[in-house]
Amino acid sequence: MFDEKDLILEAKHVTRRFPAAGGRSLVACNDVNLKMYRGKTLGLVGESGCGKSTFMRFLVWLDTPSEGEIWYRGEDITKLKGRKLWENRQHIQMVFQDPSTSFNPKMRIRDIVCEPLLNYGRIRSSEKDAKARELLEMVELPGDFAGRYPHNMSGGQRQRVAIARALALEPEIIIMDEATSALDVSVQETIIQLITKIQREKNISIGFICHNLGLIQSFAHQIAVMYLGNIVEVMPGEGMADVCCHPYSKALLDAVFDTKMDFSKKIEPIKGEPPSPLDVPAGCPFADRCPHCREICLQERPVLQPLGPDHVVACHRFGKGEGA
Amino acid sequence: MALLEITNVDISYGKRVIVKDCSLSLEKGEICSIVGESGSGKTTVIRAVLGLLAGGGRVTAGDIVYEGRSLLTLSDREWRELRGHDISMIFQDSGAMMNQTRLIGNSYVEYIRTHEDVSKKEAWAKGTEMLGRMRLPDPDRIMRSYPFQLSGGQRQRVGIAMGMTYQPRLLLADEPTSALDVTTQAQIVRQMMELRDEYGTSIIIVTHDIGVASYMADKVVVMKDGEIEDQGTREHILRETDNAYTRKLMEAVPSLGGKRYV
Amino acid sequence: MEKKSFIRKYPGFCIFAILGFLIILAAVFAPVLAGGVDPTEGNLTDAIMAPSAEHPFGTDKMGRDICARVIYGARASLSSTFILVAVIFVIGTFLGILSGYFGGWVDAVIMRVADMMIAFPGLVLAIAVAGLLGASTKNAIIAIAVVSWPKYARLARSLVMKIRHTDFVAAAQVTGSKTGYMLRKYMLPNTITTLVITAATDIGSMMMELAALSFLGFGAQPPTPEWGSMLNEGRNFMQSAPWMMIYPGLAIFITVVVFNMLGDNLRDILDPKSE
Repeated sequence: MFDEKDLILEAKHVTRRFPAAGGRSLVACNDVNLKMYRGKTLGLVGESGCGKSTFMRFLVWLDTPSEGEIWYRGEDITKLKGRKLWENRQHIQMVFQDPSTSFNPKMRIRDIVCEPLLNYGRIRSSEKDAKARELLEMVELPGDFAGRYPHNMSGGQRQRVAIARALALEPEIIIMDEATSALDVSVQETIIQLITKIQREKNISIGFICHNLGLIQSFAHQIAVMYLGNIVEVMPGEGMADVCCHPYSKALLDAVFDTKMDFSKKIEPIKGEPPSPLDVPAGCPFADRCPHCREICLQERPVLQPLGPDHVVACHRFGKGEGA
Repeated sequence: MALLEITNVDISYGKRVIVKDCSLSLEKGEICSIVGESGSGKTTVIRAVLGLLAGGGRVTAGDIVYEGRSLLTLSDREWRELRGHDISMIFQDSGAMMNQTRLIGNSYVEYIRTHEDVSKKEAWAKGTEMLGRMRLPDPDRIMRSYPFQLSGGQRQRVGIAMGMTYQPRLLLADEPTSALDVTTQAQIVRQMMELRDEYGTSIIIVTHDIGVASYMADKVVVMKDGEIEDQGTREHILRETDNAYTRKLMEAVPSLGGKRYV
Repeated sequence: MEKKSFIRKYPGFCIFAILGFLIILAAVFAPVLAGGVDPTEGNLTDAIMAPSAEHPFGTDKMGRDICARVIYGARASLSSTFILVAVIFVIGTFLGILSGYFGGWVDAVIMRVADMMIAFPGLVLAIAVAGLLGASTKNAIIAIAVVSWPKYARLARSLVMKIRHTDFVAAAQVTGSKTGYMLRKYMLPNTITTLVITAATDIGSMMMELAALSFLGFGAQPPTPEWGSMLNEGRNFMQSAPWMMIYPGLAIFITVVVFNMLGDNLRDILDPKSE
């Protein structure tokens, strides 16, 4: 499904460590390898503290990895500085999670969505009104919202404005950090429809952070599952439930509640709690909670191995030469 | 006789009527989910049952009857006897309900000793036993921890343990899993189902997560803008209902193997 | 807002704003108010005379009319106070915003310097500085400014830090906002209201500090009429000629109260949420 010539961004061995008390370090991202393709959505799924937000923030230069490279447009973007960095920002934009805190409360919608364009000198002050209407139209909001303040709008409307702002610079990639988590379920649906429509029309790649597998599989082309800073599996979005095989991915799958599930099925939650990120044990990070844990799992950290078309998994039960 | 009967209840804050004409009945051992989007009034209803409406809120019409007794006319003393023993509540963030500067054990002991006359030692032992019965690993350690030392999921389970100490007939849950990770949510949901299986506890759970609500419920109530839009058995709400709003809401819930947008 | 309803809503502010304005007017039109009397000229034969029709506040030890000196004194006291407050405000806000925005070593350096200034008892350091540089109004302003800017810097810094890591600031960076723009359009507006209120309420206490320095001889020098130095001059005659201290003292008292109340009421308008 993914053509290598459509590869537009590749993260290689990205690691992020934060120094913590007592000489220890908190490993937020551990040897993360991910690819993004033109016009396709990559879903990054995991629970709180798994490092998914930390990783995505590298892509918009809100943070820098301790190790590793991220290749985009022929350059390692983690090494960019100054003017080159500023110019590259136009190509990768972001929509934040909470629509009530992602806007300057003192700015009107018009100024919010036109700010990126003024920053890069793409429009003049006099053109703000017209351009704001154009952008609002793109996200199916009436043009006269331009004069409003964000707090006079609903959560769903604000999130549309956030998308409009992200589209202003016509980026190639948009990162969405749990962009629908704070919204009601019916509003969520309309936002997902809007996002996929815009993606089709403008061929934009989307990196979508989510904690809910049920949601992400409905619109992601590929899904990466993260646990304790490690990518444990990357699989195609379509038919994900059938090919999904990493024990943690399966646990996430089992934890999905939806209206069409089998209600007689008893829940088997995974036991225990994730270890502290300050003290990740050697070997597989999921070892102490995995029902299939073996000797090798405690000693050697599994790396991502290809399992099928567009499917890689980091587990000693799969991959080359391993039996079940 | 139904365990709990809410009949034509109006809840108002001053002159503003927030919830209109709400009627609901719950049998023993039944689990009822109240779902709705923001502003639907679902949290207001459940708080009214336990008499916990925030400043100025009042039931201005109708009645809430528990085991034949009206809850709207109880005295403070009667409430003290009822809460914890007959009716308990767990909240979205049970951790925030606890005093962060006291050990969980001490908070628990205080809770027990307000409900029965026992020594601190006995109360401590009872608390530890209850945590064990709720399948919390290492209850001793938890009793000797501060709330911030536990994870969100563990705190929530301590909250459930405390609420269940006296095996109340009715457990009210206000968004009990909304602040939790999905795998933890699964643990809590299972735990709550077991409460019904083992203790015969009736549960009313308020949640915006329709998936969780569907899984747990025998009966679902759909609220919109302060009124009950639709209610019925799970089957009815998910598959049979004609109500346009309910159908739209159910359709909007993403499901595995369901609608794809790409 | 209509003029009438503004007055009705904020009577306190209006009253003290008018009073403050009157005091400023008195300073500006001192020659008129003093009736042409020269505050620096005195006849030694008229020295230390009790208040009378000719000299409503009496005369000082050099025979100068105290009433005229009190009125002209407003000029020195008010102008030096306003300059002082403006200087502290600008320096403190500027350094505080930089400190809060950039963090790291910039923050560390600025805050350590601020800590050093706070560690000193203000007046003692001010005296030392004034002593080093020489006694004059200008040096008194410098001395007090050196000790007082940390308060504004810390306040500005904490206000900046409150929003520094919010999503909307991150969003502004992601959409290509440059540093100067961020400081001007995001950080500064978030701090300005609180700092203006602080400055307004500080006018009173800064006036006291300047008066204190003058009282000790480190501020305005004779024959310039200035309330603090007038207090100093009257110190030795406290028992025998109390009017030499009473009237300048009253002037300080009234002015400080008026501007304090003005600042308080300004806060009620600009920031009604705070107590």
